[in-house]
Amino acid sequence: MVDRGRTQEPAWKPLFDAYVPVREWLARLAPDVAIVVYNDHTADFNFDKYPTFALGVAERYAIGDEGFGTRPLPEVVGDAELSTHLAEALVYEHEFDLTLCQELAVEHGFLVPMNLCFPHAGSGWPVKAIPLQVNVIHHPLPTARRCYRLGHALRAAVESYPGNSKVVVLGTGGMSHQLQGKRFGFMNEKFDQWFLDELERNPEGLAEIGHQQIMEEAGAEAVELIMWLTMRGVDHVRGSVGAVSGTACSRKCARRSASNLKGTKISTAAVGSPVMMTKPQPANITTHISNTRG
Amino acid sequence: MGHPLAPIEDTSIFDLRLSRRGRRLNKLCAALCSPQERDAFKRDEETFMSRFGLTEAEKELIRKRNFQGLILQDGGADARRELRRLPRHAQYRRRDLMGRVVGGIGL
Repeated sequence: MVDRGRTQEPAWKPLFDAYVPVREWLARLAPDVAIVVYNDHTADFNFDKYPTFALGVAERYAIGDEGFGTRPLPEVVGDAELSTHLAEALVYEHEFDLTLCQELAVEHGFLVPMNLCFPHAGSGWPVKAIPLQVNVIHHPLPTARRCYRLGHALRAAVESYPGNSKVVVLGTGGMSHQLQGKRFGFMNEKFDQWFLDELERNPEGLAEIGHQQIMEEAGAEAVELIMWLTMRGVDHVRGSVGAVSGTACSRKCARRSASNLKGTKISTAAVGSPVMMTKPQPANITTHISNTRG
Repeated sequence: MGHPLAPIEDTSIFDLRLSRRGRRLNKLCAALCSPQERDAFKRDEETFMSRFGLTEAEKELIRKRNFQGLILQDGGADARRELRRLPRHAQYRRRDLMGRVVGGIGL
């Protein structure tokens, strides 16, 4: 929709407008690096070897070919130094044995949120980015609790970085949706609202949710929501947060998402309550929610 | 816990069992992420398919572009996304099984 310039069409406008406050917030924040928690949809990783968690440790990341050619987007510039630190801290200190990627082509799970959050010109993205890939498609998946704990570890890892980077962590993935079987197009707005509430006020409890419950109540692909918990885990010491979400998968999804967004708190409470670490410290880490509550 | 998820009505759970079943088709679809391989498929489907050891039934599903059947064989999960790599549509013009144009990647 972005590539085709259709974001302002009536059916799509409410969805895309919901990202404006996030975009503006990020512009004010001006992070140096975005750690994007996303999942690969077999654009680069495949089921011959599909990592549970994988971290980009490269200087740059190519735009992946998902079978239709590559999108006209600038190459992603990484921060190999920070990545290296994260890898060593996560593996040695926090015992998250990630797959570490010197080469990684990023795809829509990564690029859609990036494209919606960071306006970019031909010269490139306004922020460096580090892909953190989570398996949410090839069961067994990591538990929601494990994803949440990865967030804790990620925070500690960023905070121990001796550099002076301002870091933002983006959680990504669609809320309720299903793209297969007889339940194709299934959504559950009530579940989505509940998830958002819990994400904000009860992340510890929410981290106990099982894949079974998410998939039954919110559709098979809604299990992507466990990636939001990594983002939330980063911010576990403070009360409010957020994720940048929404890979609207069909017109139907988008319309429903759009209806979710009408008259929301998006431009006030949710977006108005980002958490920024203001204490002097080597690296600031920030999370933020694009709240879609009605 | 060491056990699979319980079945969910009208939903496939893409686990290692389904992944094994869909292995040949998944490998073929993975190859289609390369422009050279897409050209190779367009040039000679039969030779291309034979490289991946597809069964005759799987080949027939591809010949007929029987996407519903392919998804059942492939195992769900990202089958729809993968199978749309089969040369049929223009770049970014993507349709779901009902023939509706969908967004997804183009966002």
